[in-house]
Amino acid sequence: MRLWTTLVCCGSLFAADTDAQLMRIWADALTNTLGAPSRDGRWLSFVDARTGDLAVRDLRSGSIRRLTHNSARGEFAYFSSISPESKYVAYAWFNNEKYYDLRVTGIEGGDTRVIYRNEEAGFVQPCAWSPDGTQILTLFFRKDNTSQIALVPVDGKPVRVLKSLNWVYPKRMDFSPDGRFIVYDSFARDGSPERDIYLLAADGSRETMLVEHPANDLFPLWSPDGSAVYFASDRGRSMDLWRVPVRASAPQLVRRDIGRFLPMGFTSGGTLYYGVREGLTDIFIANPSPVPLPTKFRGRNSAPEWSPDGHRIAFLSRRGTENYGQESRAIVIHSIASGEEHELAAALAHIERLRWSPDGKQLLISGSDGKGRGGIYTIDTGTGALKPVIAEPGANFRGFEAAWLEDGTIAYVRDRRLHVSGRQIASLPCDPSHVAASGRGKKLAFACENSIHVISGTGETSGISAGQRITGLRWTRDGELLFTVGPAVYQIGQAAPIAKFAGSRGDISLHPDGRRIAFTAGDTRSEVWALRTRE
Amino acid sequence: MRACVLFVAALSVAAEQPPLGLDAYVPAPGDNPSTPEKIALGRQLFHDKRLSRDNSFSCATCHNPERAFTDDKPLAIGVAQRKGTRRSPAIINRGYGRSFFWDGRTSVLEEQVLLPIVNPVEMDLSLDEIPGRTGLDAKTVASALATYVRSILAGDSPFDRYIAGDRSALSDSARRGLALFRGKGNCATCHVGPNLTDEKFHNTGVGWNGASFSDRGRAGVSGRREDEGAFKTPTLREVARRAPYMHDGRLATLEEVIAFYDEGGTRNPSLDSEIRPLRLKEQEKADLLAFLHALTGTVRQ
Repeated sequence: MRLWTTLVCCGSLFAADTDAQLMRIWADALTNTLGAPSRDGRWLSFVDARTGDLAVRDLRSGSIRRLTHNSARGEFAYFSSISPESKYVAYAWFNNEKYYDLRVTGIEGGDTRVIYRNEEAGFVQPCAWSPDGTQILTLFFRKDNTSQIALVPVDGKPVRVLKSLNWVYPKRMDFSPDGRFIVYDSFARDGSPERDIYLLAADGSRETMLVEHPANDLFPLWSPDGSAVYFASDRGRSMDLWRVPVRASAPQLVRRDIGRFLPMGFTSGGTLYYGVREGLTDIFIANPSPVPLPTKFRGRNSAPEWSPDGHRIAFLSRRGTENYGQESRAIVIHSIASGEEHELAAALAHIERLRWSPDGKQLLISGSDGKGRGGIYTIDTGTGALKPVIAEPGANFRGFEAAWLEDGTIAYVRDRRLHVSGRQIASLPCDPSHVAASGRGKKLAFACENSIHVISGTGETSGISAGQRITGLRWTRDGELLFTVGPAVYQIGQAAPIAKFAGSRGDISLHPDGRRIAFTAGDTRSEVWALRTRE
Repeated sequence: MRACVLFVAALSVAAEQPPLGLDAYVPAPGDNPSTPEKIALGRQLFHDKRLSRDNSFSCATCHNPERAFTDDKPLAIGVAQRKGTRRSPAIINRGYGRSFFWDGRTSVLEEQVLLPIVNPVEMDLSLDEIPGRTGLDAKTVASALATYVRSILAGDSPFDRYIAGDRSALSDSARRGLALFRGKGNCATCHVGPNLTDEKFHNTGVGWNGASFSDRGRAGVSGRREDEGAFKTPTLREVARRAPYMHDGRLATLEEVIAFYDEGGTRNPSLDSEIRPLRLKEQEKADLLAFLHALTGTVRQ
């Protein structure tokens, strides 16, 4: 186990180890968990967030080598997997036509090939190489938001789709070391949020369930010797690591409370590399000094929204411990006076943002439903009744940017077109990242990257450059437009920020009294850990 | 908690690559693996008129291979011209199915294939009579017929070639129709996946007479009020050559089907929430029709 010896003897290179079996391998600003280790334990592939390029990190020296150099054009790498002999890296690449290719490049750099390019498979996730290095087990996430388990030959031969999963996507798939089987996770039943683990013959001839349990079982990886499958499960209340022998035996607990886990892969020596998302986010209220909102759901909250009367605040609260993708989020409504909280269970796959209706009886939700449709919805805060305003197959899972107007109608943007009450009324220069409606002025403001556009009731449009990427947009009751760039709050027309909230993500909400501001703040980061298993 | 025993039994015959657009994995029960011999026997039985009371017709009479394994009659006609209450479904790609019949009353294909044989208004034979007619016991007949039905695969259509990356496979009109199918038309909400069906049950209002349903549909199986008038989503593969349409064959053409959905189905107390007026323009209807025609490919039997 040469790698392990190296890690132990070179402890100064790495963060403190509190467990003989477990080490934190990488935890700095560059840490990224979308890649995989090489089988020989030498390399870890990742996305260099500074440029979007694919890179590998030398696990002995900590040095980094970029493998792509095209990101200046707005393209970038995503998930990756290293070939069995550690010579090539397969990776997803967001191309200049705004969808993902599957590519292979040499681990020493060069010899880059596009091995699958199809707009219909809008997102591709290489999960594992076949043991003989000829095929890549890939997840297609198609344009209609359905997913498929596919084998993509490296030599350009036709793709083989093994199984389609409609609107469910496996969180992880892996090849058995003998190449005969594929392990993946999927929902056990329609409408169930809990996953189980399945085995599918690589020739498509049969399938069986490996792990069936009422809890959430996900992120399977095959052990290097093929004797067991490792997976994460919340059956013990925390998200724990489990191991199930593939020959008729009950799962065994490997390690308790592994946190927000994302498996990256095994080395041939049996070391499991995985990513963890660390840190907490909470709602703060500044008046003017920030204090945390007292809530029973600590450390997992975001997107605060004051009610029109200022007596309540709605926010999103993460549920579950999953590391990436479409997080499960609940809507919490918090009474400022009593501190009471109640949770609204919206039957949606993802919720991105909330906005109160002018009468304070409904919330507008941006998000997506269980059939892969992004859109906007309303939820009655009294009854919990959910209604789609617009939901479209293939639309982004974050839904559309939208806002209530003072008369109770809804404005939203779809394909750069502004709609009010379902009717298109204007074209916009972008699909905005933020939309805000003023009260009395009846103006709509939109954030397009670094600029803000305002449309008045007469249809007149004006543009303002903010000079930096905008992270939030709000009107005051007095008709002033505020925007945020991370922790800094600016008012249009003023060069200096009017406030700064340390750790703020920029999603501010203004209390109707004009004095209090709610915002999300916290510190989340990725870490890579290595667990030496007995495999 | 349960961990399943793995692949100790020999795998079935390595699957032949299915037509373009379909999954390689075709579910089959472990005790009835597919073999070429069983498929051949099943095909023979499928065309065997001795499986009907008066030796007048076989499975293939209503499920005609030349018509995508259905027929041209609005309602199924059985022995002695006995009339059924539902249309003969197209039995293509049923290997991917999760339940069978318009009301999903069985989820096992080996059970499904025997039920029309013993149904008095269809083939009207008893299980006990099957050995005398065929020389095979009912279980063998069921296994062979189910295996053959699983081998009936429809794919390789212009739509499949387009999805696989051939951007020239669809006409401009069909391409616009695909966008409507996924978007404004809301069709893909139910007609999803490689087989263009969610295998679920939906009430579109077909059969509502203003006070009740002439056929309770899924509710007749589940007993649930919300299933009144709900029927299983059929595959849309080969749909252009499968007229007439709907579970009772009441709509003669695809144009009528599009018009039906454009109007939001037939309003009734259990109408599926996904069914709503579409307000399609004439060109959009034509585009949708062009797309539906692009679902005609090859049927492997």
